[in-house]
Amino acid sequence: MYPAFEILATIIAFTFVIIITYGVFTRQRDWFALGLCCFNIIPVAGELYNYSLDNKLLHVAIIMVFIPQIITTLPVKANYGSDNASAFALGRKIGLSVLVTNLLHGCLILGTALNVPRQFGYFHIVVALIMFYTIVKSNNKESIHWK
Amino acid sequence: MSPIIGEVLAYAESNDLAHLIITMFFIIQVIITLPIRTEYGSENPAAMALSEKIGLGILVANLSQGGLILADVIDAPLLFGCLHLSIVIVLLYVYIVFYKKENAQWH
Repeated sequence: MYPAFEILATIIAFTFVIIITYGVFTRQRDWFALGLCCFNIIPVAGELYNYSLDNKLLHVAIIMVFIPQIITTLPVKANYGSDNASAFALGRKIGLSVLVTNLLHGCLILGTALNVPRQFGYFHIVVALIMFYTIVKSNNKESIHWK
Repeated sequence: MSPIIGEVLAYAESNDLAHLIITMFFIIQVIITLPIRTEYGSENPAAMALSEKIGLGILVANLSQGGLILADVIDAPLLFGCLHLSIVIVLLYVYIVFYKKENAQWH
């Protein structure tokens, strides 16, 4: 990967992680979902670039993992809280899938030779931790409402 | 669940990371399609919007998986590609008939 390309991607990824964190702590679903959705675009772009270089199935598989993630984290104008049990349960399922995706992908980047810079592995782990915090918080508090 | 077993076996045989990633892909699909005891319909727009997103995600996932198997990019029997595409057709039916209807209700 070109150093300039890597630095730019790192800055963009870091910005999206900040947006996700801001969304979580201010309980603004739009910012949270937007950050997650845009963050998921980065691996797709990176793996498309890697696939154009070596034509390996591995990169297609990673793209396949992240495209459904982009779709499921698309921000929708739906306001709900723990009072809406159905929406809350569906939201939790989406959250769990984002957690597992980022945790596994982060571990794969850090633990194997995926040819992805290590800082992206840490970003994925941070996103997984944020999702874990959100899910645990949603289980503990009785009435939660996102804006 | 069945692709997970197949891909884990393929990974054990070849040690190719692509099989591990495809396993991860299907684990995520399992999580997102887990049945939950909730009932909702068009009177709950938030739940409908979320389930629509989930449905679209599963549709795209199966379409890409089926397409890659049929294009012989993924080393799996062609029959499985057809099965993935039949799931796509079922989801398309649900998407068109259910979500576009005004008084849709799942039980």
